[in-house]
Amino acid sequence: MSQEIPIENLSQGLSAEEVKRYSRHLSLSEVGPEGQQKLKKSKVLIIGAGGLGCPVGLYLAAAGVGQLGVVDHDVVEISNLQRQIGHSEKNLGLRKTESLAETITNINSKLRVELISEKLQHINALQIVQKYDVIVDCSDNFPTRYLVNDAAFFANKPLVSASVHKFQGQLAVFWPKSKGGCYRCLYPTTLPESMAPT
Amino acid sequence: MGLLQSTEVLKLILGTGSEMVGQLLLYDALEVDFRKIHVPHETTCQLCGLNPTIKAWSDAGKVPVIEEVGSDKRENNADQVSAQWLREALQNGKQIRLIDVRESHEWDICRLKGAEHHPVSKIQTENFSKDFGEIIVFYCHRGLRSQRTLRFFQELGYENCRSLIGGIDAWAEAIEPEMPRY
Repeated sequence: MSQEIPIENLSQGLSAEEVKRYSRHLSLSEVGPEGQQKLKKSKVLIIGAGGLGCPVGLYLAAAGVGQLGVVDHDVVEISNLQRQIGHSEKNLGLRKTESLAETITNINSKLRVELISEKLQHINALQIVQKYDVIVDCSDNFPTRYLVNDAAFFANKPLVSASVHKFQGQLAVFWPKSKGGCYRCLYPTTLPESMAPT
Repeated sequence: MGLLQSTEVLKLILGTGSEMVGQLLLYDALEVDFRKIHVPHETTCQLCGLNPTIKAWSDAGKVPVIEEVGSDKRENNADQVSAQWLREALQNGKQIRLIDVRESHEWDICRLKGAEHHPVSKIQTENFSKDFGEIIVFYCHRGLRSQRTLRFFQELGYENCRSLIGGIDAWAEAIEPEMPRY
């Protein structure tokens, strides 16, 4: 591997409760207590709290990631509920960030969540991205995808990008300063009538 | 897809393998088909290539939209051919030289039968004849790069060139639905 994520301060141990809770992780040689502590110390930024961002948030919360940032400026609508499994009927009309944060902290109350309920733009993107270890692009539009790609590149953060269109899905991990290309290598140009539903 | 995404996040944090870094996974739920392709550094990339135009954060975040040629205009242009036209022409045995101007990783995903691969970054005009006995049809992903290539050739006096409207994506949609799309 050409590059590793620098996660500091692994000295702090796991509590008895955590040992019990993450026992299935601790018994895996690829995770173990040290890996579990890495997860606990890690900060992951999820961009978009929709069809992709919901499962990502739920799984990372359950796995014991210490801090999640959730970016979304939309509110929960009834048509979201068929696939956006982090939202529920009682949260209709609520901000998606707040709704997802509620669901994931119900799973894991130790989790720290930063809610960013504003639109990701050039003015705030790099600053937000810099605070996290891994960036997860769960967005549904091209302007955000290019912006996130560029921010991850300049901050030298790995970017885990996925998209879904009808019955087809794509997943890519971009970390050009480590290995391979970036989103712009894959999509150097785009059409104006951008189609990128989640 | 969200599940696969979370797994990659955990692997990155744990440092248990960077197999997906620089790779693209394509999943087709109906066909239950997974395929993985390499996404290399493109030397021409505006961000991470050899001569980037996005050199600092102040240049970043712009969507590289190619100005669209109105679809009506495209349909009426004799040098723009539809997937339907291309299929019929090929079936009728018309002398056609099919040129794929996409990059290598795109060529690996899907290609038209009988096509030659000449990425737009490397295409050499001396390999092409201006003879009308053969029609050169350029295609790319969605028809924009092939159109630029077409204009370039036309300026050099090639009048036997065409560009496939909507690229291989339009072909996949209209003619060959089993073809992987990206």
